[in-house]
This record gives sequence, C-alpha cells and structure tokens, in this order.
Amino acid sequence: MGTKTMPGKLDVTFAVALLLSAATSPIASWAADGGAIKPTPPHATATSASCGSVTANWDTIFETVFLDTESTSWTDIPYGEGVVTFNEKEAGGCILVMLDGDAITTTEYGLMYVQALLDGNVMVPGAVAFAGGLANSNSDGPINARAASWVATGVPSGRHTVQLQWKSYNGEEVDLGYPATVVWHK
Amino acid sequence: MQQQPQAPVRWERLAAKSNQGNAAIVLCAILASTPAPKEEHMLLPCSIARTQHRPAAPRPSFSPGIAMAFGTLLLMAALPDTAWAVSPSCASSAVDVTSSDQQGDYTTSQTFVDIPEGAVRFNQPTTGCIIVKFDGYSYAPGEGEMVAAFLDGTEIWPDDIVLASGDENAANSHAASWFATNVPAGVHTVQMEYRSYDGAYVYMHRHTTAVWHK
Repeated sequence: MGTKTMPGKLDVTFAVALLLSAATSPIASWAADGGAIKPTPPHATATSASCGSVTANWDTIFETVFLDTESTSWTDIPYGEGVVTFNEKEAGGCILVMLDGDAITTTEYGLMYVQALLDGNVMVPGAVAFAGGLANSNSDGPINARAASWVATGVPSGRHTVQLQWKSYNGEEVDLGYPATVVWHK
Repeated sequence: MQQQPQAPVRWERLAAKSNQGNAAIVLCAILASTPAPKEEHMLLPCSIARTQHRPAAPRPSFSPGIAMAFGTLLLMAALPDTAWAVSPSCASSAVDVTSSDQQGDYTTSQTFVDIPEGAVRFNQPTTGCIIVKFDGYSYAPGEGEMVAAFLDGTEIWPDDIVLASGDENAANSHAASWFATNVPAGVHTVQMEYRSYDGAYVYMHRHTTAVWHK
C-alpha cells in the first residue's frame, strides 16, 4: 500500500495517557520529577515525507455538527464528518491530512484520541491525544479548538479514502464539534 | 484551575505591537513594495519587530512602491491604532512534511532548543513565501510552552507562540502557523524549536511540521 502503519505504538500512547490521567496528585510533584512520562519511550522514529503535492488538489469536508462518543475502542467518526474520498492522480506521492474542530471532554479526566486511516491503514504519527484533562469540564465545556495532522507516503494513484477515527480513553463522553478535515494530495 | 490562554510574555508583546501597530504596517508596506536585499528574505514583512532593533538595511532610493507606501501612510494616519497584522498573498504549489511519532520529549530550558524530528528540508524553486504549520500534542503545566519556527536559523513571523499552558491532567493537541516572504530559491531548512516560559517542564509528543512553498 505504501502507507505507514505503526504496529505496537499505540501501547506507548496509552502508557502516556495512563500516566497523565493517573496524575491525581498535584501536578508539580510529578511534573518536577519529569520522569513520569519520559523514561520509557521506545525507539522513536520520525517519518519524513517530501510531499511535493500540488496544493490545488485537496478535498475536504466541513460539518456544523457536534458529535459525541463514549467508546473506548476506535470508532469511525461518522460518514459526512470523518471521511474524505479523493483521487490520487500520480503514483508514489504523499498525502497530508489535517483535522481541526471544537473538542469537549465532559469530565476532568476525560481524554479524546483521534487517528487517521488511509484505506484502513493507520497513518503517521498514529493516535493523537486530541483533548482532555481540563478541570471543571462538563458537557458544556470548556470548548477548545484543536488540530492534528497525519501523513502517508508512497500512495498509489487511484481512489482512496481517509477515515478519521476517535475514542474515549476512559469511556467518559467526549464531543467533537464543527470538524473540518482537509486532505492534500497529488 | 482553568487554562490560561496566554502567558504574560504574549500580552506584553501584543501591547508593544499595538503601540507600534500603524507604524509597523506602514513600514511593512514600504518594505514589501521595494526589492529586498537577498539576506533579508526572512525579514520582509515577517520580522518588523526585530528590524526595529537592528540597523536599517540599505534601501533603494526610490521605487514605484514608495508612492504606494506613502498612500498607505496617509490612509493609516486616518485610522485608529490597531493590532499588528500582515497578510501577503502566499501562493504555493508544494508542501513538504515531517511527522514524528516520538513521545515524551521535554525541556525546562528557557531558551529555544530543537524539537526532535521537527525539521523540514525543502527546495524552493523560485523566490517566494513559505507557510509553516505545526501541530502536536503537548503538556505544559506551567505558564507557557513557547514554540517558534526557524528558517535557516532565523526565527520567522510571528516569532514565538504560546502553544500550551496551564495543562492539568492530560496532554492536548495544539497547532500554530508561521510564514516568511522572499525566501530565495534553493534548499532551506525549517526547524521547530520550543522552550519553557517559566522553567517548568514542558513536553512535546507526536507532532507534524508542514511547509508550503513554491
């Protein structure tokens, strides 16, 4: 496929999330330690892609809705909000996917993850902690605009589909409003 | 405690910019309308604040753009002082990207240090502008995690951004943008850097840097 997958890397994400979410003691006590989330990163590798994409070729979807999920497993952001289908005109190019939107995590320890799939394959850099961990959180907010990006290289020509997925780390409701997804491609 | 949207340095900077706003816009118009010396490619109009603290570069004695600039000056004199903004048209045809799955990088440095795997090397076929977009999920319990884009070692507009501050229980995804004009043809490197505003730990996890260019 030419897309990048990240076997085993999700464990790292959740380890980070777990450590962050479990930090019920005053922040200073563990932040000062610094080791709370530093000591165990495995060998991390950058994925560097020189896209050379013609930016005139982009597809996008914008929606004026608020979605919510409590799923702790990856769930498609529904069609219409989280899917972009595009036609790659040249083989071997890379694509860049950008998602932004208003995020709410309805409890203090709520945590929303998002990831992008290209034709079912997880794109680099994998799962992203999109929003969470704000005090005084409830279903009304606070609301913050968030953004994240993913890339894939060596994309063959033809029709492809980018699917955004999301999940709640601890099963508490997380909300995504006014999502905008843009895909730059050849 | 609710997140603080901006660290103090930001407000100080905005206040300073506001006081100098109209003059800066006029200066920007003058500079943008005249041929730029080669070495100033990242200063026009992106770094007016720094040019105010540097010796002025030699400028052509006259260019057609000067007349337009004076017209702008007259127009701006009639307007109230406003926030400082520049908005050149920045057509681009290519984008180069570096995306990193590295997690847990942190610093307490109050001076800028490289964000690991946060560099983009690109080839600019002709002189023109670039746009840099950076996003990543980060954790900053202190007053501010400052992030800036450096083009070939020089910080570009709008200098350092407060990417995150006041985080409590989890990391969050953030994004910011930078740009530079008159970037000459050739190979260049954008390196993202970060620092802690107050010396508190600031963390950077998975992140992506994209550069739109000619």
